[in-house]
Amino acid sequence: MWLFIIVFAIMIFTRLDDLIEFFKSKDPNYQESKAKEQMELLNQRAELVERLHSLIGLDCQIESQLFYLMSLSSKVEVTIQSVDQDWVKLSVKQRKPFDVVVKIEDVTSVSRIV
Amino acid sequence: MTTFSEKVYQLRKEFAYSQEELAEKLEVSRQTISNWENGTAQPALDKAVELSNLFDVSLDEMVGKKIQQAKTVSPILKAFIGQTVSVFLNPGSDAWMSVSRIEVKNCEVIDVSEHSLKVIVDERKQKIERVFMLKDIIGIKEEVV
Repeated sequence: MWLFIIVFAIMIFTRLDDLIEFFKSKDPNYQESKAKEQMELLNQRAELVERLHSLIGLDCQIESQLFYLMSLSSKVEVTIQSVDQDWVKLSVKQRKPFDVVVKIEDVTSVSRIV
Repeated sequence: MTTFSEKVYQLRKEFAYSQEELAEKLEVSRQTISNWENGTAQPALDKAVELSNLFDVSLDEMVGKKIQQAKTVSPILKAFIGQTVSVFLNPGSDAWMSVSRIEVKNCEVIDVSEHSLKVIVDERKQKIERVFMLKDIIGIKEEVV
C-alpha cells in the first residue's frame, strides 16, 4: 500500500508542472497573457530577422549558445552572409575562419562593429 | 488578434457602409448590426457567410483565425545537400539524448525538409542514415574537405 502511495506521489511530483499548467490553462486571463507572450516572442523574432537582414555583408558581433558549445567565446566576430526565416549563415572570424549556420532562435544578441 | 465584432466594424468602415445600409443588405435590423459590433450578439452562420461574401473575406478571417503560412524548406539549409557538415544539437533535446554528444561530425547531408535534416554519418566504421529534427539542431558547421 505504502509503496503504491510513494510511486503515485513520485508520479504526481514529476508531472507537477504539467498539472499546474493544466489547471492554469482553464483561466481565460492566463490564456490571454500566454497569447500576449507568444505574440511578443514572434514580434521580437521578426525584429531580429529584420535586423540580421539589414546587416548582411557587415562585420558584427553575435552572441549564441552555439559558439560556447564550440568552445569559442559565446560572443564572436562574424560577417553575416545570408538570412532566412529560421537560419543565419555566418563567416566566423577566427585564426582559422569557418562558415557556420546558426538557428536564429539561438541568437541572443547582434551588434554591429562600427 | 481582431475579434469578430471589431472585424465587422472595421470592414463596414472600409466599405463605407452605414449600419442602416449594412442592415438592409443583410436583411436584418440596424440594432442587430450594432449588437454584432458591440459584441453583445453574434450572427447566425448564414448571416456570417453573407457577411464574408459581402466583404469578400474568408470566414476564418472574419472570426480572427490566424492563417498559418506554409513552412518552406530553408534555402540556407538546402545549399548543404551533398556537403559534409558537423551538426550541433541542442543539449537536452531528444536527438542529443540518443546520440549522446553535442557535435555530430562528418554528416553528409542527403536531404532537407521543412522539419528535418537527413544525413549519412560514419559511426563505428558503419554508414548510418540519420534524420535530425530541425527543432533539435542549433547550428551546422561546414566541414572543410
